[in-house]
Amino acid sequence: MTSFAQYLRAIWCIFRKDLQVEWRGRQGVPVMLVFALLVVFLFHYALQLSPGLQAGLAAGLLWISLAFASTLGLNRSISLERENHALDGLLLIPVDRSAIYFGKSLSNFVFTGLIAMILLPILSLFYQQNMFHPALILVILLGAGAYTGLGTLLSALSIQSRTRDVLLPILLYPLALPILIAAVEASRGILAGQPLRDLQTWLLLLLACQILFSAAGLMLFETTLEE
Amino acid sequence: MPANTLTEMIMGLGVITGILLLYAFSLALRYRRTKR
Amino acid sequence: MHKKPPLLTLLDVLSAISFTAALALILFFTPTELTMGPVQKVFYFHVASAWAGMLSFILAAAGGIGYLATRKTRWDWLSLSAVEVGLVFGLIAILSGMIWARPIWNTWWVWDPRLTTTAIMEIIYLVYFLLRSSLDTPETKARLGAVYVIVSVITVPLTFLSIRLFRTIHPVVIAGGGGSVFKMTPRMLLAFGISLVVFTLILADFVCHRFRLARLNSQEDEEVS
Repeated sequence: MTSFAQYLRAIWCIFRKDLQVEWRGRQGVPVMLVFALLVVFLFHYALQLSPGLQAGLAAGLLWISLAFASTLGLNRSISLERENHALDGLLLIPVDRSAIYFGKSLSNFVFTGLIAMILLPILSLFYQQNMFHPALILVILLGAGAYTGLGTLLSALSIQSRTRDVLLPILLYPLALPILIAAVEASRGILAGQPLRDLQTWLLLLLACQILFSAAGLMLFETTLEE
Repeated sequence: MPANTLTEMIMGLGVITGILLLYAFSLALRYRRTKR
Repeated sequence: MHKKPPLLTLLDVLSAISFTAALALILFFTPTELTMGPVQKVFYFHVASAWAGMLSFILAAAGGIGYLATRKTRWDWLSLSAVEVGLVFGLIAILSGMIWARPIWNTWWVWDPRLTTTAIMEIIYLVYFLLRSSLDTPETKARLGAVYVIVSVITVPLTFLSIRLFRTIHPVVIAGGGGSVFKMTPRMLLAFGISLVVFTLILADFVCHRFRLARLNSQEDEEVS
């Protein structure tokens, strides 16, 4: 097997492992979902929202609850490795450690995407809006990809600190701002009925974030996890 | 007729100069303290 | 014990003199702007400070790359110094920006892309220190600090871009405001350019001093242990 094939295989194994652990334990995704819903309720009352929500508020609500839930998932994903010294086991795989990064980014991405897919019908129900646009799904995929790409790298940082879980949000949110702004603006445009062509710049920005953060992960993940 | 914003100008330039001086001073102080 | 290099003393003197000269220039040489009045003069140092803050950020990232490439502590000292000094310049830029905005837009804060990006940069700087203080060994502080600062420098242009785009779509209607755009006469341009140079000098001076402090601290720690 060529080393590149081994590399891809490692990514797939790590990705599959994360999904299997989640499937057997089923503690991560439900918690993320409940948290996302709670955020929606909080914002509903805090901002006095009502059905017939403006596109902008709906988009904002979607992405804030998604960001919060995703951060929870990111924390959990990396914490699981720390327990039982599973991380040490991972580090022994004779493959470039960025494979861990890509494997985990992928699993984090799937979990976040899953939450998003569940949120869409719920938000549609709460606010009497149809949020099922194919274009919106594209934005969610791009946004979640970039967000979890950045978040997975930073979670490797935060897990090594004394303050652990508390640190990830403050590391992640300021750096994820361009992702969130772009995602919210693109979503808003779609919900307001704008054609995708008008929103090209935001989509390109999301793509740029994805590429740049994945590149950073590729190059820096190994260094982050050094012993 | 230009607006009378002289006080704001003094405040602005004062804050800038003040913080620069404060920081320079803090550096000197910290250096001396570490040298003990 | 490292003696203070004479070059640094020269830089000290140069920075102090050029700053005073620039201040005098701004106060007496530049014209008073038509609508804004004297407060416009804060602009020269405000922008120069923001510029120095940006430069510092890039310097910090260079320190991060240098450390990861060589694992020599002095690169970490550079990062640390650049972030701290950048924090100071950012603070100056934000405060002076607010003081400048007040009489013009009748508000203490404007969601202007440059000001907002500077504020976010400040937070990122602060988080750098929070990160370091939550780590236990000097090696981890240096290594993870370097990773963080490198990732941060990637996001700043992206952040600025996204906020800029946001603003073109959501222009903020400000009560009683005119534009901040004013034409710069040759005298103003000269003062502007000189301010940039002066603040770059001060940046270099501060970073050098902070670097020496970092080096001294590191030696003290070694002697204790």
